[in-house]
Amino acid sequence: MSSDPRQPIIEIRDLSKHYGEHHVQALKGISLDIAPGEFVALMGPSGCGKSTLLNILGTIDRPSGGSVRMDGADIFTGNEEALTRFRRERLGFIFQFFNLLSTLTVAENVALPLDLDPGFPESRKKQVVASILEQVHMSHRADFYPSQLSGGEMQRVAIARALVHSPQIILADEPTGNLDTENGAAVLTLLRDLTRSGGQVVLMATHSEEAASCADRILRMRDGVILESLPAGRT
Amino acid sequence: MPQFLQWLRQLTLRSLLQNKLRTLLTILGIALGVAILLAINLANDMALANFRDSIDRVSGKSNLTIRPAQSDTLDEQVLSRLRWLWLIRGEASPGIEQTALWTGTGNVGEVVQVLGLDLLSTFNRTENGMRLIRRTPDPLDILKPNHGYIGESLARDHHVQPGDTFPLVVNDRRVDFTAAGILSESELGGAYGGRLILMDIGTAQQAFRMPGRLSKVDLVVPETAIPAIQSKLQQELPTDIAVQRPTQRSAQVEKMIRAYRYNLTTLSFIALLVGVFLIYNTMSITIIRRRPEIGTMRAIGFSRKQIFGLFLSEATVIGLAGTLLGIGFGVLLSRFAAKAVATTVAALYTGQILEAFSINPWLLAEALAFGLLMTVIGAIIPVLEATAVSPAEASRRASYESRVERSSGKLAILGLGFAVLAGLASLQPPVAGLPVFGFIAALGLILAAAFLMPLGLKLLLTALLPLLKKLFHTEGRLAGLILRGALGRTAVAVASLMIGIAMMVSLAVMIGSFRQTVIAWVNQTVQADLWIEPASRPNSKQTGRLDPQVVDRIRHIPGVDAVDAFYEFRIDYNGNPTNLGVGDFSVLARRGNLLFMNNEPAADIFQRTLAHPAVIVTEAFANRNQVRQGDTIRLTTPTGPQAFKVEAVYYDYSSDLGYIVMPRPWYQRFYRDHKISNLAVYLTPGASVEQVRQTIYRQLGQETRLLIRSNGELRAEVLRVFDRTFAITYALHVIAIAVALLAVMNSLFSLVLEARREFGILKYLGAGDRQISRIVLVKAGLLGLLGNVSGLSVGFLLSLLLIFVINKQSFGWTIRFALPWEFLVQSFLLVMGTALVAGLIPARLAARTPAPEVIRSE
Repeated sequence: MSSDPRQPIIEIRDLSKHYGEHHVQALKGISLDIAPGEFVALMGPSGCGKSTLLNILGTIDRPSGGSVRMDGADIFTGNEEALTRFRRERLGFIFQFFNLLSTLTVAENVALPLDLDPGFPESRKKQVVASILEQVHMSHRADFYPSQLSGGEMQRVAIARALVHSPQIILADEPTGNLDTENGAAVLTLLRDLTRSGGQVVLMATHSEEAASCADRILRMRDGVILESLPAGRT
Repeated sequence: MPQFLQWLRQLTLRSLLQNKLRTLLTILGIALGVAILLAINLANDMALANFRDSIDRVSGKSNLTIRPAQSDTLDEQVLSRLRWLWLIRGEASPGIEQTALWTGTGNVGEVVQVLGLDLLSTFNRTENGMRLIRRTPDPLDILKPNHGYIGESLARDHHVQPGDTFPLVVNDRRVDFTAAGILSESELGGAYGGRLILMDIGTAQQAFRMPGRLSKVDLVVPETAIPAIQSKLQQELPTDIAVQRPTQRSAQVEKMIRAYRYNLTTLSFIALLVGVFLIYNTMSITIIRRRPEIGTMRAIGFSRKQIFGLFLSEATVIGLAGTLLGIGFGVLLSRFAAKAVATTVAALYTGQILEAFSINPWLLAEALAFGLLMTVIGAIIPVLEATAVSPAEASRRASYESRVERSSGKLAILGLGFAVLAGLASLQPPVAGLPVFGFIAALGLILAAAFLMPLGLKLLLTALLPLLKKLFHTEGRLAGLILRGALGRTAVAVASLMIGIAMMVSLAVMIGSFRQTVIAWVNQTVQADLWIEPASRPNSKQTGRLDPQVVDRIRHIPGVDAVDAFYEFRIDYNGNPTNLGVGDFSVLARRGNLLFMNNEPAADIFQRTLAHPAVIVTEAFANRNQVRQGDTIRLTTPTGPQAFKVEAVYYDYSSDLGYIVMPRPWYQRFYRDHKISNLAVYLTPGASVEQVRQTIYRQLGQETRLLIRSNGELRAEVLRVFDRTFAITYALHVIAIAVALLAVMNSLFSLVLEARREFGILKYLGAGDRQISRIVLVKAGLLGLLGNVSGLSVGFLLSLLLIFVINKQSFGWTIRFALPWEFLVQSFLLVMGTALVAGLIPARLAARTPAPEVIRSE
C-alpha cells in the first residue's frame, strides 16, 4: 500500500464511458493523475460526468475505453471478485444522501466494511469502530439508529464508515449536498483533517464552490471532459 | 372520472406491470384461495341441488308426502284413512323407493334407484309427470310382473331397448326384469340423474318382498288447504308417521349433511385468508416503496381521497384479476370436488350418488364478492397508510417500519386479546349443532399469532443474531438485521407463510389422528370372521336386506359358531336424523368387542339391555342429542310411544348421525318386524374363513347375491371409505401447501425488491455478488424456518381445536390425538427446500443489483 509520494497513485488515461443503445457519451477520453494524499474536487453541472467518473474509479461501473491504474496496476484487468476485493480494501464511499442502513445502529453501520472483510480479525473490530466514532465525535450515538440522527450526524457516521478500514482512496459524491452550510463546513473539515492525517486521497464531486475550496485542486468538468485543473485556495 | 382513469392507468397499472413477478404471485395466491372456496361451494351446492331436483321430479305435482318417521316402511292401510281427500279434490298415490344393483355377472355394479308407483291409476290421469320416449307395443306390459321403465341415461349406457331383459340385484337375489319402455330425461325420468327404474307398485312390492308396505304416499291437495290438511293428518295418523312438504325433505337432507358442508367451507376460507395476507404484503411494499412518490403527489395537490382511491384501485385490479382467475380455476376444480362430495354424501348420508354437473351463478357472484372483499380487507391498512403520508414525510421511508417496531408491543397486546378470545370461544358449546365458536376460536388463534408476530420476531431475531453470525458469518448477521429492520414486512411474510403451513399441519394432524383412531377402533371392534350383506347394499346403507331363509341357512353351515343379525334404518329423533339399529346382543355379549365409554364389561351391559326395554347408543348420537348413560329416550314405535333406557354409550365412527341400537327381542316386540340387513358371522375355532365363505356361496347358489367380506377385507374397506371421505380434505391439504409456498415466494421477492437500496450500498462498501446472494439465501432460509416454526406451532394448536372442538361438535366423536411425525418432518423439509429454491432467483437478482442506479433512484 505504500507508494512513492512523487509518483501519482491514480493514473487515468483516455477514459471514456457511453451508455445504452444511443451511445450517450458520459465521459469522453479523460486523462488525469492524482498524487498520494491529494484532495481533489470535481465540479461541473449535473450530467457532466462527475458521478460516472467516481463510479468507475469506485469499480462500481466499468469504462467503455481507456484505463485506470492504481499504484501502477490496471484495476480493470481483474475479474468481478478482484474488483470487489479492491473496493472492499482500498476504497471508501461517501454519498449525498448518507446511505446508512436504516436497520443497523450507528456502530453496526460503521462496522460494515470490516464485517464484509472475512480477513479482518473479530477481536479488533470493536476497538477500531470505537476509535473512528471517537474521531468523528459520534461515540455517544453508537447505539442509535440512523432515523434518530440529524443530517450532519448521519454524514459524520458515513465518513466514519468510509474511513474505518483505512482505505487509500475516498470517493465522495456531493457529501455536503444535503446539509446546511454550517454542517456542510463541519463535515468537510472533518473529512479533510482525517484524510490528511491518514495520507488518503479524496476525490469529491460537488456543486458547491465553498466545498471545493477546501480541496488541493479543483477539476472543472463539462460534457464528459475536464475543462481545467486548478489549485484551490486553502480555507 | 376520465381523469381518475387516466391516473389509474399511468400510476397504477404501469406500476403493476413494472413488478410483473410480484403481481403475478399475488394474483395466483388470491386465485387459489378463491378457487378453493368456489370449488367447494359449488360441489356442496351441486350435491344439494341434485338431491332437491330429484325430490322435485319424483314428487311431481304432489305437495304433501306421508313418510315413516320412526320405521323403514308404512303400512298400506294408511291409504284407507285418506279416502276423505276426494271431498276436497285431493289425491293420494302410494309409492315405493328402494335401490337395487344393476349388474351383469358378479357383484360389481351400479346402484340404481327403483320407484314403484300406482301406474294403473296414474295412467288415468294426464299430469303424471312421466314421458316415455320408446316403449313396447303393448302399453299394459308395464303392469306385468318384473317389468319396468328405465331412465334414458341408464338405458343408453347399458344399450337397453324396450323388450330387452336386464339383471337387477334386489336385496340378496338376482331378478331378471324386462324393459317396458324408456323414460325421457325431462320430468320424472331425469330424477336421480336418470339412473332409475320405474315400475308398478305391485311389481316393486313383490320384488323387494314388502307386501302391504309402502315407502311413502304422495298427496296432491289444494295449495291453500295445505297447513290445515297437514295438521289434520298429523293428528289422525299414527305418531310414527310424518306428513311433510317436499321442501321439508330437502331441508332434512340439508340438515344431515350440514356439518360436513360447513367444515369443508370453513377450511376453504383459511386458504382465502392467506390471500388476504398476500394482498396486504404486496400493497404494503408497493406503498412503502412509493412513499416519496406519494409525498410528491400530495405536494402537487392530490387529495388524501384521491390517493386512497388510486391505491385501493390498484389493490382491486390485482384482486379482481386474482378473483376472476380463481373463479375460472374454481369451476374447473369443482368437477373433481363435486364428484368427491357426491360420493361422500352418498356413502355417509343419502345413499344415492347424484353427480349431475351444474353451476349456480349465484355462487360465482358470491366468489367474486368474497374475492374483492378479501382484497379490500387486505389492502385497507396499507392504503390508509398511503393516505397518511404527508409531503414532508415522504422521504422518510423508515417511518413505517419504525412505527411497526414501536407498536409491536401494542400489537402483541392485541394478539394476546385474540388469544384469550380464542381460548374462551373454544370452551363454548355448539350453536344449533354447529361449532360456530370453534370456528371463531380458529380465526382468533390465527389473528393472535399474526398480531404477536412483530414482537415475537423482534425478540427472536435479536436472540438469533449471534448464532447467525456464527453459522453464516457477516452475511448471516446482516440477513438477520435486515429482516429485523423491516419488521412490518417480515412479520406479514412470516404470518402468511405461517397460515399456509398451519392449515396444512392442522389438517394433516386431524386426518392422521382420525385415521389412527379409526384403525384402532376397527381393530378392536371388528371381531367377526365374516361380514355378509346383500349385494345391492354397498354405497346405499338405506336399503337392501337379507332373506330370513338365507340367514337361517348360513347359521347352519359347518364352521359357523354364531351369527349377529343386524338391521338398521334411518329415523327421526327429536327432529334430528339418526340411525336405529337392531342387533343380537347375546352374540355381541359373547363374541363382540364394542368399546364402551365407561369401560364396563360388555356382557354386563348387554345383560341389562335384555332385562327391560333398553338400548345402547353411539357417542355421536349421545353428543348430538345430549343423551347420557342412564337417561331414558322415547321412541315412537309402530305399537306406540315407548321409553328405552340408555344402558351404555359406545365409541363408533361409522356415522356422524349416530346409532341407537336395541336388542332384537325389543325390536320384534315394539316394531313387529324381523328384517335383517347384514350379518356378522363368528366361526368355530379352527374353521377356515375361505372354506366357510365358499360353502356359503355354493350352498346358496347363483341366484342369491351376497357380499361376503373377511375380517381383514372389512377393515381394509373401512379405511378405503375413510380415505375416500377425506379425499377432498387431502386435496385442500395439497392446495394449502401450494398457497404456503406461494407465500414464501411472494415474500422473498418482495423482501429482495425492498432491499435493493441496501444491496446497492453494500456493493459500494465492498460486498461481493456471492456475499449478497448468501444474504438473500440466509433470509430465505430464515423466513422458511420462522414460517415453519410458527406454522407448526399454530398448526398444532389449530389441530387441537379441529379435533377436540370443531370435529367433536360437528360430528360428535372423540378423536385420539396422534402426531403424524413422518409427514411433519417431510413438510418441514419441503417448506425449507422451497424457501431456499424460491430464494435462488431473488438471490441472483440481488447480486445483480445495479448499485449506481438504485442509489440514485431510491
